[in-house]
Amino acid sequence: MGDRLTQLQDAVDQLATQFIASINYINQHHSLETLGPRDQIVVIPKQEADQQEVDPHPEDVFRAALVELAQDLITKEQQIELLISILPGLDNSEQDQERNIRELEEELKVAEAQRQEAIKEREETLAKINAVIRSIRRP
Amino acid sequence: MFTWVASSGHLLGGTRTCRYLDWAPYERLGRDAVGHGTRRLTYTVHFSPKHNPIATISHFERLSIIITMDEEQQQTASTWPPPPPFWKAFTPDNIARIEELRKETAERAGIQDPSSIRIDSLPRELRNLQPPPEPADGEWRVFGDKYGLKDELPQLEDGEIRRLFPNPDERDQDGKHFDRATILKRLAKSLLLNFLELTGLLATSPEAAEDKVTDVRDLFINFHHLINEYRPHQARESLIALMQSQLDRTRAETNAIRDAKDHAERVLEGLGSITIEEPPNYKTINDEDPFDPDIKAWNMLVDQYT
Repeated sequence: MGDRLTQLQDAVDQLATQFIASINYINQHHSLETLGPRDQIVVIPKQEADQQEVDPHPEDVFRAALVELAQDLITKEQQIELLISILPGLDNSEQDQERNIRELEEELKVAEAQRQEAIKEREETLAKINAVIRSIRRP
Repeated sequence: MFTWVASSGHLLGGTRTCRYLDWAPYERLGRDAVGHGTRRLTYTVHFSPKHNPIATISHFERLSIIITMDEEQQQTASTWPPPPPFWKAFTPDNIARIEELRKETAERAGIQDPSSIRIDSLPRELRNLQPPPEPADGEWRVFGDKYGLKDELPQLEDGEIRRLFPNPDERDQDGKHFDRATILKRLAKSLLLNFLELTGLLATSPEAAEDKVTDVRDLFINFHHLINEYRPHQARESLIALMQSQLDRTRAETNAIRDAKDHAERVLEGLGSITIEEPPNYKTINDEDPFDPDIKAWNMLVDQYT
């Protein structure tokens, strides 16, 4: 987890990875077609199938995988759009930000002074209470 | 582990701790006489960076002496370099002197900030205390890499990437960034569309897919460029958020302190109002009042003991 921009950047990178993964899947698991009437699809024995470039998946599995990959792509794209729309400070210009920062700086100074004052008052009250407690004697 | 030869003028005795390395467990390997009565001693030193990284100046000096004296033996196994020689110039005295000089020069030139001033004619021993001027051409090299004074985001055109969004001057009116969001969203949609086209091309005419891959690449790079352009903005935005939270925290703390103080004062006032009432145990007996509840008891006691 990083800031929003980093999240967005990561999401875009993930989208690219998904592109590659999708193409890779299609490239490896598509079904084989005959190009001419004399072509034949060679059935490869199971133990050699791992070394083959193309390992056709059954039609229904392949279709389901395609649908899943496509849905994932759409989901990722929507995530990206969401992240774009919640980027921080879209409606602030640089001047706005500078003014904001300046104002906050001033307010911080005031607040800090107030805090110091409050601390001082607290100490005074504490001293008062201490004096009262010490003055209590058995009459 | 490596071995060096030290002449007898620089014998090492006892335990020495030096920055980054520790030669505590060294052992003497051999000793022989060389030349005109100069004894040479061979030590074996085990280096271990895990050891205490504390070093004192004299240790540094000693190490550098040995290294310069035995340069030939050091070439194959170099240790961490000694600090640059000008560190010796940074004594408290010298620092105070240059501060003084800076202030004087600033007053003479009428410049407010004495820290940025440059003094042209410095005494030799103070010359190292003045940092060198900024590189005139705005570039410098460290470890063979070039660096610029100004940290700029490289333009897309420099990398021969097509730019798919308008110039910064033409978009984002009033300095707001809605246009940027719109452009980013458009790019995201274009990415999906181009990917769809790419898969279609790969299925029908793979040789045409090359151009499409370039398109997708350009889209991605454009996207990243826009994101990186936005980073300074986000940094300022984070600063604002941070300051706001600090402000809230300070105010909450002040309020809490005030509340506690008020409470304590109320309690004090309460105590004050209690002390006004006479404590019941020290009431004087009022003989005149026949309805005083204590009078009976007192009278009984008086009767009994007198």
